Amino acid sequence: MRFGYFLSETVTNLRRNLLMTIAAISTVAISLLLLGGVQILGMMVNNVTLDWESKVEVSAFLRSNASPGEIQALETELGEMPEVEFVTFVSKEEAFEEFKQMYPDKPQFYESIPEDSLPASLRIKLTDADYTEAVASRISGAPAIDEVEFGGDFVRKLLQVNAVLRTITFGMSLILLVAAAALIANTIRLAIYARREEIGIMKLVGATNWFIRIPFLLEGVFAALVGALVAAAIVVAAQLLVFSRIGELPLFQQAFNFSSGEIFTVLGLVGGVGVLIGLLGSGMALRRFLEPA
Amino acid sequence: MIKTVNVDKEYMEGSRAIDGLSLDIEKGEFVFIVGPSGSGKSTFIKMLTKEEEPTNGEIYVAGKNLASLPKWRVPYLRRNVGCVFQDFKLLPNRTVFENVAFALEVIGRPSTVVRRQVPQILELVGLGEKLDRFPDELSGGEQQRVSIARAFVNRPLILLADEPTGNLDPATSVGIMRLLDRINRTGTTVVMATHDHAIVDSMRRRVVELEGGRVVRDQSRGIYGVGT
Repeated sequence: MRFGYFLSETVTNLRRNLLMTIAAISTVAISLLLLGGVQILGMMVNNVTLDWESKVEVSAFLRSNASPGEIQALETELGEMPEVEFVTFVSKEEAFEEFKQMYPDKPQFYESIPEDSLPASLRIKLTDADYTEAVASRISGAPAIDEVEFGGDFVRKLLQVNAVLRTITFGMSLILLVAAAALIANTIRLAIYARREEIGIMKLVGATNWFIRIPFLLEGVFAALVGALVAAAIVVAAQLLVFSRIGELPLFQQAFNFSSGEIFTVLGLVGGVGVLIGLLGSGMALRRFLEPA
Repeated sequence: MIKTVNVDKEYMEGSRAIDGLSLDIEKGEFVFIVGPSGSGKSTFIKMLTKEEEPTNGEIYVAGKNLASLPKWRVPYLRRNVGCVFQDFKLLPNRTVFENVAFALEVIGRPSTVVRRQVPQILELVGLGEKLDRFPDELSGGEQQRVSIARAFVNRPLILLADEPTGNLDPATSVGIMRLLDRINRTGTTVVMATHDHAIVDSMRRRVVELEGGRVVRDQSRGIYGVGT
C-alpha cells in the first residue's frame, strides 16, 4: 500500500513539475556526459601512451668476439630479471636483413657495406618502460656487451610526458566529477526549494519526515537515472558510430580502439555517479527543509 | 484537552509575545481567542502543534506534555490536531480530492478507505461536485471548505483555526462558521483565533481575549467585547 502510494506520488510529481524534471534530467545528462567524455579522453591518453611505451626496448649490442657461452650466460641472466618480459637474440644476418627492410627503396644504403658489418644484439623487452634505464645500466658492464642502447633522453622524456598526461586527465576527471556532483545536487535543491511550501504543509498535516522524503528521493533518483541513461546512450552511440570507425584509420588505431570492457567502465561510472548523486543530492537538500520538525 | 501553565514566549530577548498564559480548554468546547493583531493569538495556536516552542511554562495537548514530546513524535501529535489557516494552505498542484486524501495517506490509511471517506467529507462541506478541481479554480470560501475537510477527515480530537474567515466576505464566513459549529457538535474541540466581531457575537461561545500576550478576559457565552 505504502509502496503504491510512494510510486504514484513520485510519478504525479514528476509530471506536474515537468519543467523542473526536464531541467534536472538535462543537467544530469550534460554533467555526466562531460564526465564520461573526460573519462574517454583519459582512456585515449592511456591507450596511446601504453602503445608508445610498449615500443620501448633495450638493445644490447654484442662484441663481435664474444663467445657463445658469454652470450648464453647474459641471456640467462636477463631472463631471470623480474623486469624483463622476454629477450630476443638478433644475429648479424638478421640485423642486416632488418636494415635492408628499413630502406627498401634506397639500395645504395646497404649495398655499400659488407653483410656482417652490423653487430649482433640482444633485444630486451621490459614489463614496464619505467625500468628501462635501470636494466640498461645494470647490464652495461657485462663482458659480452659492446654497447647498450635504449633511446636515452627520448625514452626519459616520453615517460615524463606520459606521466604528466595521465595526471592531467586524472585531475580533469576528478574536477568534473566534483562539478557534476555539485551541479546535480544544486538542481535538485532548486527543485525542492520551489516546493518548500508544499513540504511545510505536509508537515502541518502530520506527515513524518520519511513520508515526505521518500517521494522526493525517488524523484531525484529517477531524474538522475534518466539523465544517466541519456548520457550512456550518447557514449554508446559515439562508440558505435564514431570511435569504432576512427579506430579503423591507421593513425588513430591506438587512441580510438576501446574494448567493450572500457566502454562499460565509462557507462558504470556515469550511471553509478548519477544515481548516487541523485540520492545524496536530494537527501541533503531535503534536510534543510525538514530540519525544524 | 488543552492546558497551558504559565506559558511565556519570547521571539526576541525581552519582548514577550505570550506572557504568563494559563488556560484550560475542556473536551468538546468551542473557544474563540480574540484580540488585536500582535496580541499573541497566532503564537498561541502555533505552540499547540509545536510549530513554536514556549520559552517557559508547560503545554498539554490531548494529554501529552509537548515539552517532553520528542521531535519524531510531533507528526503523530499533529494527526490528532486538525489545522485551518487564514490562507488555506492547500497544495496548489493537487486537486481538491488529493488535498484531502493526503491527510489520510499520511496516517497510512489504505486507498480503499481514502476513496470512500474523501468524497464523503467533501460532500459534507458542500464540495461533492468539485473533487477534480485545483485550488486556484475555487473561490476563497470553497478553498477554506477544502482545508476544513482536510483538517477534519481523520476525525482529530482538536481543530485549530487561525483566522479562518480572515480572507472571506461576511456571507461566506457564516457558511464556514456553520461548518465549524457542526464539527464541534460531533465532539471535536474547536479553538478559533479571530478578530471578526460579528461572528463571535453571533455564536455566543466561550471567548478568551488576549492583549500583549496575557488573558484579559475569559467569558463563557461571550461576545467580542465592548469598545474594541
